[in-house]
Amino acid sequence: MSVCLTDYLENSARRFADKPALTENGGVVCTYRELRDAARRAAAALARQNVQGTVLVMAGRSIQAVQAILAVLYAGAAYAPLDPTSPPARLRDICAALDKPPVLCTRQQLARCPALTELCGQVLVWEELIESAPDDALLENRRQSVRPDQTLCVMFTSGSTGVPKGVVKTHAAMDAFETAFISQFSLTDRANWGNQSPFYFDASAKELYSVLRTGATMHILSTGLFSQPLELVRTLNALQIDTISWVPSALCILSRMDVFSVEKPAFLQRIFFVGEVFPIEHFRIWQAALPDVAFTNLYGPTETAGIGCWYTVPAAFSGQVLPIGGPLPGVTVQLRDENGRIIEQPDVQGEIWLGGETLAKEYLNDPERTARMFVSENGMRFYRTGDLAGRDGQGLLVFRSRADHQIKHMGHRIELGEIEARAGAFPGVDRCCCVHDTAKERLILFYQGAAPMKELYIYLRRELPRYMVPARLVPCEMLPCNANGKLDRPAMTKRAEEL
Amino acid sequence: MLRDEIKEIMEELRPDLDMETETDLIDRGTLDSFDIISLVSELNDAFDIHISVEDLVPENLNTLDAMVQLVERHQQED
Repeated sequence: MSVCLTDYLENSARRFADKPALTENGGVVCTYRELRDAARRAAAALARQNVQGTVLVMAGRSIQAVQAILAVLYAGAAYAPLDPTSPPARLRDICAALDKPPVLCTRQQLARCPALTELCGQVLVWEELIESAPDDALLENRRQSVRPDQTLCVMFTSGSTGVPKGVVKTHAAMDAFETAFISQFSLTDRANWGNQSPFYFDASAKELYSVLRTGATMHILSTGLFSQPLELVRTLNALQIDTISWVPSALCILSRMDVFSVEKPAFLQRIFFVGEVFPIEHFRIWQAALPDVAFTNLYGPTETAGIGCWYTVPAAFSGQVLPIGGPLPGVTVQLRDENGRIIEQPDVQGEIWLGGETLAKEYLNDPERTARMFVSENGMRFYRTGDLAGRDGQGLLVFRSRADHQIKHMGHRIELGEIEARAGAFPGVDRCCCVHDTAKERLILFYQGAAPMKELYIYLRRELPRYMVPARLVPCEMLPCNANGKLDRPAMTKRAEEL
Repeated sequence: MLRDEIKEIMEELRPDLDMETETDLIDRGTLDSFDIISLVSELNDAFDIHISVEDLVPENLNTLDAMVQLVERHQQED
């Protein structure tokens, strides 16, 4: 029988029935037995309503979001998690990409977003689903139907044309990743995870399935805690959290506010950071404050399940850039030149190609892009990441830059073109250019035209996810261009740094 | 005036908010962690103060007037 990730929960619910699987806001607890029961109850209702394909799941930072995701999987379907506070334009685009999908949401989420009824094929209300009777035979039947290449989830990521693109991942790929990840880092049921990545964010999947498979506990930290760093550290200590996997932007909140001079996280043993480059001066503040903690850099694009490369930083690390290291077991990583040839020389930069069982299956409804980015060679599939890297003196991979205008901001990957396409559609924006000011870690949009700044900002907040909304909008008489008439991005990046 | 300067900083940071009417900015999550970090760094630079992590509680940041009081306190102490 092929793998299905609900097996993780089945096994852990047998071994650790009364142990907390998830907690929320420090107080609310969901044991493994409760998690399994709620998910299976809702799953039976989904199966009886013959829900199939990919279900849009409104997934906030809550126990309910995990229960809903697992319910969809128990019902033999796949999920596409979405931020319940997504702006209307994003919701519209994603529903269109999924072709009027069924949507699973709470009553409150539906009340806040009545458009779901129009945009989605079938509206499945959580409170109604969990009231229905369980049906073990029906779910067993659904479990048996799971194929080896069954879709687990569709994760949406920024697209340069202005429309988000869906990445399709399978159960088998996520399982291959978890097998390698758990064994590489000796993760066990004793771990107490402090979850920062919301469940609509790709980075949360590796953490969620590690927890479910090992039978560990995940404490879901509320968004508000990250606005109150001292309260956040006190919460980590009260919950005795020992393992975290956060984006560097979140870690930097603590180092920037010098919270360690007042209180330190006393129980942390392992810190994974993922999603973007950890600025070295902030890393050093963390390392100095917590010398006994293992710090591990994880690297992997959305197009793989979990991550592909890792690097645990030694105490004596003195470099200026944290390497992304080398591959997890089972992952192949190569540097390729512009013609796709493998680079053997140690000091030559190239594009990272990832290969192996953990790769995503495809881009949703986009065979042309899939064929371009996922290539097969001698029986192995590779994904061309577009990330340029070199090797340091020890042969470790070091990320250098992107081959395009994709950037990382607040741990999210963003195509600057998507922001420009949205802003350019606003009346009174004749031309615009979005740049990433890495020194201050902010996005700046320069625009030409009569659009009032306040109205443009309000429009962008409605059209784009929070992390893509520029911190500053700067009206310009004329955007600088180079000799070929193309936007002079380097000039604008320099100007952004001077703002 | 101090109050106008802080208002201006907030209007630049969040052009969508009317600071005269907003309350419970932290408790309601209107300002997120990235707004807070930007605000602290702008206030520190503009008034040459040092807002500490212990100041980052809702009482100090929920309204424009609370922010004014926070800055005034620091101007006297720092």
